[in-house]
Amino acid sequence: MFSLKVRTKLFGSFLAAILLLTATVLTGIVQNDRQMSQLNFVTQEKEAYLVLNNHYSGIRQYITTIGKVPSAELPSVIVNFYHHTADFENAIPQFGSGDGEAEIILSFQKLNAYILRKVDQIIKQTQTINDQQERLTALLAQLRTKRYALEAELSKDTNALLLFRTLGYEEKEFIFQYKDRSHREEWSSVINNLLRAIEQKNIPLRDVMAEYAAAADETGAIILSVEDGRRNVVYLSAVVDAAGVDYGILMHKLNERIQTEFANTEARTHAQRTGSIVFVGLALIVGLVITMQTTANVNMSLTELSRVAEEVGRGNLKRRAVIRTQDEFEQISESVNKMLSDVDRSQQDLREMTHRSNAIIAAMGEGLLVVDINRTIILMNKKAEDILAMSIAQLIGKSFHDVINFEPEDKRKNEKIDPLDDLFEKHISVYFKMTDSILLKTAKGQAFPVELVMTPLKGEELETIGAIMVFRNVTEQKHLDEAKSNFIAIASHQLRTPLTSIRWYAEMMNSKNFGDLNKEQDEFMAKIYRGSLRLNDIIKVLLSLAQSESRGLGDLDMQLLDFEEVCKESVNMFEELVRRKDLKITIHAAEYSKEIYFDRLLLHQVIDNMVSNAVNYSEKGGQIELSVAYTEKEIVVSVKDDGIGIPKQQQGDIFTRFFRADNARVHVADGSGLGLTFARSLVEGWKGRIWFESPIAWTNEKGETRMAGTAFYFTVPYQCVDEKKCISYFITREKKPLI
Amino acid sequence: MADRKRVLVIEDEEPFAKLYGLKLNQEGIDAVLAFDGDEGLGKLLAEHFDLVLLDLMLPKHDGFWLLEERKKYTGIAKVPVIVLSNLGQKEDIMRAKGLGAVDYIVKSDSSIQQIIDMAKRQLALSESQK
Repeated sequence: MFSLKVRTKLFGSFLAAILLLTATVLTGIVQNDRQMSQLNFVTQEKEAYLVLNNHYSGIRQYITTIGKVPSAELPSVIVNFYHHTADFENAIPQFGSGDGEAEIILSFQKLNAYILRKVDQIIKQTQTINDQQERLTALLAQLRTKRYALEAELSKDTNALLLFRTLGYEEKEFIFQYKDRSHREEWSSVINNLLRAIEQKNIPLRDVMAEYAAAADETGAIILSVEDGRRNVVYLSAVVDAAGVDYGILMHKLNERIQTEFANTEARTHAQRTGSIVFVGLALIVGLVITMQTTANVNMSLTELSRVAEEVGRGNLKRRAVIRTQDEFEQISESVNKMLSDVDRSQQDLREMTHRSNAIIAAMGEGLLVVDINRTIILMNKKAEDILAMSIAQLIGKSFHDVINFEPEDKRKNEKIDPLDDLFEKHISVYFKMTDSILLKTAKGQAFPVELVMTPLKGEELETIGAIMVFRNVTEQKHLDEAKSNFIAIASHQLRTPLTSIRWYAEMMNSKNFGDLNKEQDEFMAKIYRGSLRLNDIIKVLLSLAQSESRGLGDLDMQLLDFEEVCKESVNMFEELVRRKDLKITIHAAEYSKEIYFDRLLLHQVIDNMVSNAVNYSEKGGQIELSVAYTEKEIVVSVKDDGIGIPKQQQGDIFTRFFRADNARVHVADGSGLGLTFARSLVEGWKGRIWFESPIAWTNEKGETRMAGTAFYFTVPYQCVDEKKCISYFITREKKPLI
Repeated sequence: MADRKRVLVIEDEEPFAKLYGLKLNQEGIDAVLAFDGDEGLGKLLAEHFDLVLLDLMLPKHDGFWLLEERKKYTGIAKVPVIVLSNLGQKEDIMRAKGLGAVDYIVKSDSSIQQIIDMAKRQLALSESQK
């Protein structure tokens, strides 16, 4: 609740407001009169009207309503009207008549702008007057409302207020009066005593007041009665009008409850009362009325606000403050209510969001389990329950390793697997893929192959405050994968066996060990042999592709590689063709690329493919450029040639299985159309990107540029944990740094 | 004149078995053929061989079985085995080598001449280690 001091302060500000209000009301009245008199030069002549003959209907209408001027007075009216018109002679008035009235017709085109301004001014002034009148009306309505509210309030309470004025010393006019029903007699006796005193002594009210003030206690109160420890008191105030003439006496009765609660208010009132109150009567009445109402309002408003605060505190966000006092408290209550609505809405949004998140978590196809930094399980979803075959009750609050552990499927490996260690100590995400063959073992003794992603749970300052584990049981998938793998193995074997026969027997025939062949036979046999080799290549790539698409990259053999070295090895593989075609090959490698952990075979598969394409599709004497560059996030390898390029209309199909561009078919007859498909499958498998540009710009020594050939690019992504430690995304369990 | 080397060829595909035989004989090497794992083990136990050329996909007991079985007999455990198979999976290669095969050749990736050359190199190596 507000302290007494605050209440005093509030009261002070209300008093100030009252004074201001009174001043405004008075000023308004005076101003209104002044505005009216300014209009007189037009409006006091009621017998004629002025017409501005123009096409500006607004003005015409306005002027028409301003005045009707008698014909005899027209000249003076006109002079009055255009008195300040510097250019008056240009405004030619035409006089007409009708029904005894004169019409003044002015040509608008010649009407001086000054007149227009004058007219505008009048319009504005009238508007101002209207506004002020409206404001006054509104203020009076407000005051009336307050008075009625006070009347209603007082008639309910035991407070009482009486104002009467004396007209001469004989007549009394009760301006308003509230009876204290519970103390009717005492009340009446005070009034009667007062009236009697006035009659008998025939003295001015002021002196009556002095006499009664002497009877009052130090607070100015006259005690009417004491009941059950409560005093009923009356205060008297003399009301003096602006001229200092006695106007009346204000009696103001309070019971002690109010008095105690607003002792300070009373003291103020007393101070005012005992000093000379040179105040407009109306203002004081209004002041007192408002003061009393305000004191009651302060009490009511504060109680209401504190109730709202309590209820909201208890969780009822639907509660609103109901304060209709038309003052600061109503404004405060509106702000409070708006704030509560906002809070309520935010809470509702939050509830909806939480609900949605919960629904998503519940509907997830994967198990979700969250641990805090102490490795205690703090959250999990239904799917996690299903997968682990343990209930939420059995898991929440438990230490992670008391219920869940990991071990390699191959028991011989005997390695300790603790993704939480990696996560909390090395601050990296951990991935177990199906091909990592890691078993999740529960406290209940269940074990199954698992695929999981464990990522740090970050706090507001991005510090690790826990871990989020998303996982699934991949038993089924593993079976399917094994079945597919077996199928690939069998298919591969069955295709290769007859092919081997063809290859080897063709080889035998060619070896001439079993007799000479004639020229045609020799040539045919050579074709059979070459066909068998090509078929073998196609089978190999197809199978690798099937395997990489079904099982990803499989076991990676991570080793420290020098990418430049790998590029050189790739180029060497095509040494003979390069020499025959007289190709100029350059390799640019960033220093950085010398120490990167990666799988040599995988890298070779992709680079070999690109180099092979570059060599095959280059013209004699062409040039090829290999480069290894890096960005913050990835290593970019490119192989550029100035060869035949890729036709624009076929560029969309270049990674499609078995597709070969028309010019490529012409240039190199045999080719599986699988190389780039396979390369893309590998690159995407390690989460890199692969793309090409064709044609590309080549600049010769003379600085001349020509567009030719193709550039193929692929990337190897990596993630830097800090400045010194970077790891590649796709390195799963090894977690070796790239740098 | 040194003894003629003896090679046991365990291969169920007649065209391959025939070719191995032909080529080995041309090189002055004796080739004995066996059709499946059981026959192969029987012959290996019964006679002396300097080298085994072993196919993996065989009727009855397969090549992996033979690789495991032979370890049980000290007399034959040291006879080098070169696997010749069209199973090209990494797992198969690792498994065969893990069971003691000295080499693994994917047939369709090699010429017959390369295979014979490899057999000869292995025989020479064994000879030098005696």
